[in-house]
Amino acid sequence: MTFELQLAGGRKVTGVVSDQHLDAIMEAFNGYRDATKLLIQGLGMYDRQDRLVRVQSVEHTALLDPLDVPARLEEFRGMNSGWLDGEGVAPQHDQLDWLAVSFDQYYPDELPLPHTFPTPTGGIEMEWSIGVQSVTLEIDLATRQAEWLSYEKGSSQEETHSLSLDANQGWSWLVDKIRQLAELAK
Amino acid sequence: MNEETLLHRVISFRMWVQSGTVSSQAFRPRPSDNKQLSVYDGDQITPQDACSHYTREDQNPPLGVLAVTVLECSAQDLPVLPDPQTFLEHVLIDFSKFGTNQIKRKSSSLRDCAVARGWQFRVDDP
Repeated sequence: MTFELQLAGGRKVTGVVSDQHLDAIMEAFNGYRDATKLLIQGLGMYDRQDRLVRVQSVEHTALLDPLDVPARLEEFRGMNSGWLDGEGVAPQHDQLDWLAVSFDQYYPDELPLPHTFPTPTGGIEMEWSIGVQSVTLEIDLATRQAEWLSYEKGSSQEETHSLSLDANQGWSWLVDKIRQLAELAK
Repeated sequence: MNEETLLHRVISFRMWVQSGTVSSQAFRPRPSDNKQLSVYDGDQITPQDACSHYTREDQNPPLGVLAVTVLECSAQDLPVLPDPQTFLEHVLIDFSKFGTNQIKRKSSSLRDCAVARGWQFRVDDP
């Protein structure tokens, strides 16, 4: 059976799939308007520009969390300079790759995922809402520095912190803070 | 314009909406905005007309329009300034007396109010 796959960047390619993966593909298809994403592992054919042109066989499929960060970052690869009404710096692909790999490596699956958005300066802003706590993490992709801001809605108290995501220490701090907030919200 | 007047904010960029959640950046002045957020005076223009006014032929269409009230801005200590010199219905929400973190918090509060109110107009409405 053949299917058409829309990549995170918007481009479409065709592929061949066996019956065993049909349920997952149909679930992704039915969730298209809700931006449901599907992870596919298999054999692909690429052109000279290293772009996927066809999925030749599928070995594994998995529906992704709607907030999956690496998949979300993949969407930003299609952005161009001037994306925000003529202004707005597009994030660089190698920097997006770094963040995707790092997030996957350091951020535990059991913690709440952030909403992930591009910033006008070519960076990334992650936003968590955990119980009554709001968190924003603004990431400068070029320097790998991040600015943390957390606060309780309706309260004047807030916590700010600068961290480097270029080192394990920064990721450990981030993970510990999110874990604490998630525990408090239980 | 009074306390209940809706201030329409055109949400122009699709990447600032994820799984139905709107980024607080949509209610935050951009670097070139001089700490003032552009909105439309809802007493003078409908959300749909605000969206049409905003849309440029050479750019992707906006997603739609969300709105906050003058009172919700006042609750955040944000002055609301009519700016008819730019165009008749133009209004500025003034963040200029606040620093970066306060601006993030206030934009997040405005976003929450606007999202709770719901979309005033969606471009892709059937």
